[in-house]
Amino acid sequence: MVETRAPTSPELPERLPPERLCRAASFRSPDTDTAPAQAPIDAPSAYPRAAEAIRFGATTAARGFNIVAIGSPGAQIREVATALLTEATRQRPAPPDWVYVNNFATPHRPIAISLPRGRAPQLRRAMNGLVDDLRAALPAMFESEDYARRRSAIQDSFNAKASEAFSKLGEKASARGMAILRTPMGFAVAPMKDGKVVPPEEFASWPEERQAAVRAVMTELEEELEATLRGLPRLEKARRDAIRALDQETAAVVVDQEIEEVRAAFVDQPAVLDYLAAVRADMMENLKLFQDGEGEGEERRPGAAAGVVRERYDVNVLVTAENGAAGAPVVEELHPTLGNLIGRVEHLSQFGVLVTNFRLIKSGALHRANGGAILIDLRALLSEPFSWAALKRALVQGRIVIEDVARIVGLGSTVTLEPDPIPLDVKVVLFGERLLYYLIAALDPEFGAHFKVLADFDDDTDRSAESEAMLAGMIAETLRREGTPPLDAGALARVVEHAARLAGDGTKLTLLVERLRDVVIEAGHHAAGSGRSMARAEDIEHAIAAQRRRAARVQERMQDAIRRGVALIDTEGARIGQVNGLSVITLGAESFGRPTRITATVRPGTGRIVDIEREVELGGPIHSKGVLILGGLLASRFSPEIPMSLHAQLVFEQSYGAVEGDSASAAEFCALVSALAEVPLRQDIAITGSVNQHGEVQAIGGVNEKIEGFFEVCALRGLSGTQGVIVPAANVQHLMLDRRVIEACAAGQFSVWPVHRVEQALHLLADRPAGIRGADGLFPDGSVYRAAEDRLRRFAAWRRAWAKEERERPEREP
Amino acid sequence: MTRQSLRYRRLLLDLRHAGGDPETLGAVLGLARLLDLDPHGIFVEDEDVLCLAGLPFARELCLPMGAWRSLDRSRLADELAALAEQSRRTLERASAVLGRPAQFIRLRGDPSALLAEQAGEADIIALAAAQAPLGLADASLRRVEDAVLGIGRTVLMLPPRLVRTRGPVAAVISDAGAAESELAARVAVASGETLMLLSAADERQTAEAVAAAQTAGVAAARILVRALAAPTTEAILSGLAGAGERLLVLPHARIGRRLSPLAAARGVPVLAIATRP
Repeated sequence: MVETRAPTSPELPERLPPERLCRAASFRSPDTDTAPAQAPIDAPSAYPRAAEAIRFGATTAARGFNIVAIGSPGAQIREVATALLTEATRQRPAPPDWVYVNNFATPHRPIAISLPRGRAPQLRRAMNGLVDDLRAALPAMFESEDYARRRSAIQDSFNAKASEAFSKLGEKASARGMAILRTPMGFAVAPMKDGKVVPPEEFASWPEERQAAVRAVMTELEEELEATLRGLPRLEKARRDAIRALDQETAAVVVDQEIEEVRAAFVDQPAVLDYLAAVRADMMENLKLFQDGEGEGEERRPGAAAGVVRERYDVNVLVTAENGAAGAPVVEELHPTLGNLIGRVEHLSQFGVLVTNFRLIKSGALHRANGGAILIDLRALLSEPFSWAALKRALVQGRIVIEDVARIVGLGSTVTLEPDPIPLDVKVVLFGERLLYYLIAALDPEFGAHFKVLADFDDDTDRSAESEAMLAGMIAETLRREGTPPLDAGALARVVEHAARLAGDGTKLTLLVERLRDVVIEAGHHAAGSGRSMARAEDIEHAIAAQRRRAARVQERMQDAIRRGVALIDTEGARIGQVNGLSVITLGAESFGRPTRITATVRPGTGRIVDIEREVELGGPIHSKGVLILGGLLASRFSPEIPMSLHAQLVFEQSYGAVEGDSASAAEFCALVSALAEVPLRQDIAITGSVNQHGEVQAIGGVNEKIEGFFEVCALRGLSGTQGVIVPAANVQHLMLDRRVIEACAAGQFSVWPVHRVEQALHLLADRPAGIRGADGLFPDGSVYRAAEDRLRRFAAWRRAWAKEERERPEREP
Repeated sequence: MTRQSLRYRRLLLDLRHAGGDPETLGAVLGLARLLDLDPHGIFVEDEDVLCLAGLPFARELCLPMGAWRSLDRSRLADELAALAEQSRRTLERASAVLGRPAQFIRLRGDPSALLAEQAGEADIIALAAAQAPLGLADASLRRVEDAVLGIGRTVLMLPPRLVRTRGPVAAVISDAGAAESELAARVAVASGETLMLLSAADERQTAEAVAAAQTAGVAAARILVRALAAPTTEAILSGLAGAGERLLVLPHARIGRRLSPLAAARGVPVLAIATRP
């Protein structure tokens, strides 16, 4: 039960009974020790707020309603999100397959084709079969006698035309008394006589007319020779065209037949039909790829490797349905690099150069999740360069564009591809820590446009019989999943209580079940090692103690320092201006408390309270605020007509690290008042609590660790029976103390006192009432406040006397 | 006509027209070794070309760019000399590979006359078939072929482009005698190839040719016989369909001026045996 409003007159606080120090599991009783049914429970039930958000986001198709799931480490964010997304996508239609095929016209822009689910492998097989069949059939066609005969006829025809032209030229030359001679570098036209070239001297002796006539004939024949020679390329081109037409006519018979078979299987897919038309055209243009040689009566030469043909007409299956998978996919990407997320284009090294083709396009997580949902770790996503920006681009454009990192940064110079983008329809769920979400939501203005659904996973839940049963179910699910021995009722109760301890609140149960998982697994291990098939409460205790022990090195060193007197902590007697404060140290997953000596000194002054921690910049702002508040409290307690003529100093003795928080401000106030009143405070009692300007003691954090920290020190030296800790009354609901502390309290060896007001704490520490101002305006004789106020008056009088003395001093000088 | 065994002494090669292709040269020298002939390479610098260069207006069409330039005698002489030296080196390398040294002869004059003059009855003269289409305009090549065929010498016509160096040895037999089949049989035995007889003769003569081949050492299983409708060029080409022969031997008288086209069509050397009295 939570403490209500504090009493108006400060009374000596009552020590808490043992049953208030730890709230037992609701099903733990002396009569019945029956644990709630450990039927496995689905994780979403434990996180209603987050589950509702995810269900909403998963079933909303509107743009931008992607989900960001946040929580503390240990919350079952991934498991819950996966389960809910799977449930939502089960009813969605199965997404299509996607393939990339060669773009024959523009090879660096592969074509993406969508196919009904599961048919991509079928297309690939069909194309491979097509190629294999043509590799066997086409060479046979080109080796047939009919083809050889027709090709030879074409060759002969063109050769004859060319030969006839030159033969006729030779004959014409001969008929006109000329001859065409072969020179080392070409051909020449020569005048002939009697079968020999006319010697120069004879030619020179001819009449001019005859010479001119001969030269004219030579010129004419030379021109004709040149024209005939220049006509060869045209003839050769015509020959090649005729051969090509013959090849295509010959190949068309088998190519059309084979392609028709593939067409028939994909007649309902227009994109595939278009592709097949392009394949046919390309094959007809590249028939040599299927031939092993040229059949012109020439010796055969080795042709293109079989692999080249297969590669050209291969089908790169980018995404296809896994066998038996129903509904839309749910994909989790734990390593969202740019390539893993949006896909990548791989390269091969050939002769020192990086080359690529459409077959080297690899799918990314977005491809595999397309049509369904994808879960991405937010921290991992933000840690990978370019990934976050790429994801946003994909969501904005509604398509997946595979980009090369080198090109993004402007360093790319190798051959690369620009594959067709693929339309994107996916539900994105980012999961991670709250701080990351707060940061990115604040710093990236685009974030909210894409992730409109927040699923905030609670760290804990209100504790009730129902919630305890729910937790038991979650533990049962963990046991089943891990194959760990089951728990008996006592063990289960202990786990529930530990869940409250982890929540730091007896009225709550932690939902960060990862730590509970660790405990039950270790407990099961211990039980199995002891030969038991079922874990008991003692196994749970063992596991909890073992976890603490493994992380207790620093704590034990500190306790050892206290034990040896290196760190000065008193746990008996009384001292003026000194009190045991309490602090919590968190290292990794474990926290522990330790006492710290807080001291205060006072002297006449101007009313300043010096916080030494703040002076040396070891005190954080919250701590400084606490000191300023207690200064205000001090001023409010003592007569306003008395000037606050003191100078006080507060310090955490032997503390050489940063100090933050105001949970020690009540302790500091007590130390200060003790120093002012010159009233000693009990050192066998520690105090924790934050005090406001009205003297109310406010709740602090880590109350269990703090109490246990002082208890450990006292236990080291032997409990005296008078020791204990003063805590804010508002923290009683948070108490889930260790069994040893509870047992000590039950035995009267240790105590925990809840207080509402700082005067209650003072009363307990000083062994005398703090005091209430009477009608005469004075605190009662013997009260702490009376002693303090009397001293303040003396300080004020000293200050007045000193001030007067200072004023009069110059008058006395000669 | 009495049957007689043909024995040749030398193989004369017109290097000016057939000395450029090392593969063809190797095939020719290989055949010389099979027939135990002494190879001689003859490079004739055509005097007509040098004479033409003396005319101030003479020019040549250079290949492959098709540009004209004037003929310069001294430059032409240098080019011919360089061509001769290149042919010599090619001949030397090819003969070194085969281990059959060849003699190189360089002459200047009328190629047809000089080659005809060099070729004796015991010589086989190897000529290059005109390479269509340009070669068909070459008057000097035509004159060489006419001159050598005209004096009735045994000619080995080399194809413009050699397509194979392995395969059966084909021979055309006719009623003119079995000289061709005997020579072909010797080549087949020496090279380990099959002997293919293309017969336009009657059965008896065909059988005699087969027997002669066996006598020459060709196993019966390695003798193929195909019938020819007639010993004409067309029939021979038809009969050789799919044969894949490496050498065709036929009677000189049956082929005449069709020797060059036949060699070009088959892509293998054609040996036209001259009839000796």
